[in-house]
Amino acid sequence: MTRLGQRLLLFGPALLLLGLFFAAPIGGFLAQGFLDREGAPTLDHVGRMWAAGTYVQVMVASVKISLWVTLFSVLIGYPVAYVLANADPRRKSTWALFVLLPFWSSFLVRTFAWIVILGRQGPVNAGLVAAGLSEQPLELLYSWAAVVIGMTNVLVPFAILTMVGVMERIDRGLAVAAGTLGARPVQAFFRIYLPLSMPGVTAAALLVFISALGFFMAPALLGSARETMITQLVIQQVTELVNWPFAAILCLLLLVTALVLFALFDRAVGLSTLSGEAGRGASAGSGVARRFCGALGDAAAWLAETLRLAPPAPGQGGAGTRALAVLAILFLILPLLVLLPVSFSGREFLSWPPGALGLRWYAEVFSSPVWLDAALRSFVVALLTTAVCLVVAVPAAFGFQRLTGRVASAAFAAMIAPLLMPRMVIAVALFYVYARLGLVGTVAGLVIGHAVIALPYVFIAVTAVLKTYDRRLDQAAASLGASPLATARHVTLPLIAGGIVSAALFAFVISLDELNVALFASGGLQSTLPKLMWDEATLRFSPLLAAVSTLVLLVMSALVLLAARLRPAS
Amino acid sequence: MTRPKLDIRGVTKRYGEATALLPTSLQVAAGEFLTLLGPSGSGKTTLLMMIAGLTEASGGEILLDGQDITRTPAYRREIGVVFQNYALFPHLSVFENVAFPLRMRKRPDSEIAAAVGRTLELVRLGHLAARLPRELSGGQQQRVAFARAIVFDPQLVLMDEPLGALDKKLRDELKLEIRKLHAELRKTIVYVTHDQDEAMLLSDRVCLMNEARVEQIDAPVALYERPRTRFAASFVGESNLLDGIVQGGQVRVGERSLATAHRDRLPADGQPVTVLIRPERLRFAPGPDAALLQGRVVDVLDLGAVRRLSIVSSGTAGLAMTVLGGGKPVEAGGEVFLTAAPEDVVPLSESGS
Repeated sequence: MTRLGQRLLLFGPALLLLGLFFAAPIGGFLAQGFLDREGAPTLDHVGRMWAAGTYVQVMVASVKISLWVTLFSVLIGYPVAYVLANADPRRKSTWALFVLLPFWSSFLVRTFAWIVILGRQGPVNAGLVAAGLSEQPLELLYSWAAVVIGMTNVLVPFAILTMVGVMERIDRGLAVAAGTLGARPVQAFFRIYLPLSMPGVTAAALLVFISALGFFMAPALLGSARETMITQLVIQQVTELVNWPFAAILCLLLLVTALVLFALFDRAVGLSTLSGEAGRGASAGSGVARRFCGALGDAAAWLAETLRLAPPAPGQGGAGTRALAVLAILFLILPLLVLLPVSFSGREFLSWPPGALGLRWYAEVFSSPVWLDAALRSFVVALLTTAVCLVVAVPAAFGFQRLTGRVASAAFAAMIAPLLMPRMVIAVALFYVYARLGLVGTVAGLVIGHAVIALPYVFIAVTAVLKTYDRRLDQAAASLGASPLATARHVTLPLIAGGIVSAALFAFVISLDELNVALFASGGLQSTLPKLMWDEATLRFSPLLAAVSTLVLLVMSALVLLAARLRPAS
Repeated sequence: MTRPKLDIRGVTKRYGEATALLPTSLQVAAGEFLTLLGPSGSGKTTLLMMIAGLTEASGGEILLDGQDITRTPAYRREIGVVFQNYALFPHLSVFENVAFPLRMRKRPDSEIAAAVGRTLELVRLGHLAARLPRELSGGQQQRVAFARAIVFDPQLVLMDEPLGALDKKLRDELKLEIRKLHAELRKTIVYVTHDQDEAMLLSDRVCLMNEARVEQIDAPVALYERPRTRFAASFVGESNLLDGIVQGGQVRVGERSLATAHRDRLPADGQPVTVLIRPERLRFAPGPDAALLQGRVVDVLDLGAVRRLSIVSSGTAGLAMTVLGGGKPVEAGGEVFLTAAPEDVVPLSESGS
């Protein structure tokens, strides 16, 4: 067998999983959009979709909302990422905790919280009335702003973590060097730091945009009919109208839109930035953008000079940057801060203030077989998903290490493809094949779906660890007489164990919070925790949700802390 | 010295309990090439960073051209710095890297183009102006870093182990180039290194540092020939250190007395003293009577140009001797009688001032 063949063999499990449960289902499902009842090719569905007009309108509206969410996520996330990337190690872990806490806590949980925060009796309205800014509570919910706030809140941590990866690779000495050459700190930032961090910004923007485009929770819970997003229409087509061809066409519309934006992105920056690779010099923004940045920096420097602002110590953000970062973090953890008191509420409905406190809703959770059953199922599914992801992604990451050039780019693109596919599309396509395979309502069906969705994250995390791993240690082990297997067991794996643990945690948490797959594939009987929470939110909306959310948050925090402990000090 | 270009007065740096630099005073004349030489942790980089304004001094003042710049931020100091890893901006071309300080000073484009072109020619990189830093070799990157540090005609140029990342051959080549550029430009340069060859070759004066303070400041040859302390003697060059007692203006080592031309450096009669004799300053004595030292050759390293002998001699920790190669081979095991001129016998003190 050739060496290339051997390396590709490591991708075997990944290709099998992605081929059977990602590429094939999506291909088969999307093809439905071009077939009539007898299976003959037709463009009728496309024509009908186009003629109706509303679908294209909803798509445009979805793109608009997603673009705003992307803009806000990057703007809010940037100062936090900057502070996080440049803080000294001890402060860094504190900052990281505040970013990771919301990151690991459930999408659903945080979206629910905004209903309380922005509600007529919520803290925001209470504050406005108390401050005399408004005579009576405003209708903040069910609006464009509420949807954008809710989605941004959920997606900022993704933006932060993507940008930190790139920022940490920027040599801190460069800003210092700019200082010795006569640049004020703010000029050094705009001329040196910002251009070098642009690959991270664009990667973050891409990730946020794609995720936002596939969202349905925030618009469904926080928006009105005007904020309907395309994924909500897909759900409607599948679950209410059972119109597969039309669902396929809508997904296709979504994908084509996303692909066009990808193509633009790839031309500008290249997809490899998603793995956190620092920008290749030439790709760090065009000349025009750079000149613009430079002018901005000069203007800011002039302003600082005129106002006689004291420059911060070299290499650190100023007090202003830190203040922005703290505000951003407050915005991120606000939903979590609100949920806790609400979960102890004694009332019938989710509301603020929570009123008399008690454990009523916790008691209900723990005495309900439905909730306990769903929790158990979610944990089992998450554990199995983690196992599948590691088995598939770790060999692939090792194989990827040894690939170069075009083969490497192709392998990377294949491995992260599910990341670039809205989860909703994956879930609908899987539902389409599961119906045929008899996997609807089975644990296996859920695990496979979750594994496909979590795989890119695990792959990227493991690849990132391997990239920092010194291959000469393996060579040393080999020269000392260790077989490849012994080398892996005694040298490589112990050294990358920390990375593997955090990769596993990714898989576990993503699975625990995954709603899309369960929405269709759980078949109503085999409900997971997020599915049950979703049903509760759309049907009843009691403080029970806050209680469950708090419990989920506790479990996730415990896991994160445990993982941090298990990780060997580096 | 007329008014020094750089005047460091009692500058010190503490990190909590730890002292990175004890109060240090130092003057650098205009056009001078001063090297801060010392082992790692000796405080040389700390001092350099404080001159650059990248580390804040805990005490003392730094004057540049008579102006107190102790509290001036780095970007207003008019001091060019060549960093150890060059710190070239990876997203900017060679031209833009070198143009950067001029753009910060809002010079007109025509002037920038002319100055950058001139400076790149000076370091022989005019043809690579459009390249990105990563497309250059290590030596070329080093030259860009140097060009960037001098293009804005700074008052002072600081260099922090600028050749540290290069291989030996390139280092030797660039050393000569820096020397030539300094001779042409007559810039005031403060240069940090732990490599004594670099220090000897480049400097007008060497400031030897050890344990957070200045050990000795002297011209390279003076530092080599007349080190003041045991540390200076052993850090620069090879050394034979002999322990003895002062007796009547001479140094008694074992049975013999060594005359020294540096009697002013001897402590009082009866005090212990250590003297230095460089290996190449030891000579064979014509016979036992004229000998200051006596010993047996235990090892001979014939390097062609020179021959290095290891000699066991009572009352010493062993002697190293370097003689010119060629002629009659020296056999190990032979008895030898050695002597040294009084000016080559240098008394040392235990620690610096």
